[in-house]
Amino acid sequence: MLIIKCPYCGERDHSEFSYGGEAHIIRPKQPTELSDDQWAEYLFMRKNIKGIQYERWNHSHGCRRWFNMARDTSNDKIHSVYKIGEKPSN
Amino acid sequence: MLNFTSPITESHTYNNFSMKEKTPVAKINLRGDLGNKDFVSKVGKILGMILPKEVCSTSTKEQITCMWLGPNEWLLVSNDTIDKESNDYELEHLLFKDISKTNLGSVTNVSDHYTVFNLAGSNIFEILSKGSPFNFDSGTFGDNKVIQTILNHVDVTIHRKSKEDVDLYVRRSFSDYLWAWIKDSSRFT
Ligand SMILES: [Zn+2]
Repeated sequence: MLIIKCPYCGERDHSEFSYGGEAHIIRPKQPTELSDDQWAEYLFMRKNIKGIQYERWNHSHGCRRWFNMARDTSNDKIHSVYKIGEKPSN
Repeated sequence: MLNFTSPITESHTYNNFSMKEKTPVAKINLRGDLGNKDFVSKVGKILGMILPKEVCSTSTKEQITCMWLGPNEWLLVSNDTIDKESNDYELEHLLFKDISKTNLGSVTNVSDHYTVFNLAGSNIFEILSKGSPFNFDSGTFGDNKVIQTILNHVDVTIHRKSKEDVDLYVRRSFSDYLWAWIKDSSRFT
């Protein structure tokens, strides 16, 4: 069982959360000026790394707030959680 | 409460555990920014108390209980009951006029959204533990605390008034299902 520490509610079981994909992806300011390739790059292409990945999570069955998490994808170890808009500490 | 027909038609007792549906009362979902002094002071004035800021805490004054749902979200439960033909709550009018209309926050009447079960007995948390991932023994869930979690796949809000007195808020459409599940579970605790 994976325990996730929601930055608002504290430690809860992972079944209360939903995964929201890679974090810190910036939406292009002028989407109309992009080529289809560039737009597809923004929409679909993700790093999918082995190691520490920065992700968005939602405490969907609790406080329903979004937050970020640094998680090691190889062993599920959670290195930090931080609020939306904040920068990762490491 | 409009056209109120409850899916729950009985009360249930097994050994020293009992549960019943609470008479429908006014429930209002309130959202706003605690950093906004205008919002805080106007809500404080209307409710006659300060919104709980601490995680999962509640504050109670006379007719109203205010529960923390998130850093900018609260559930207000008033003991106001009204007749079955109406859906007018004075508290909602006051909040709507001063908070919603002035764009300080949002006020949503959720009175008909939730069914409330009152659970009583010494083994409440043993029963709930059977279907919930929440750790009821963690020590953080004391009296007058409120949490949102999952109970047998259903989203619930659990308000612990004391170890032997708990209110459980569940969406109306799920209440029949959850009632049957708790009833069944209580038989094997
Ligand atoms: Zn949370």
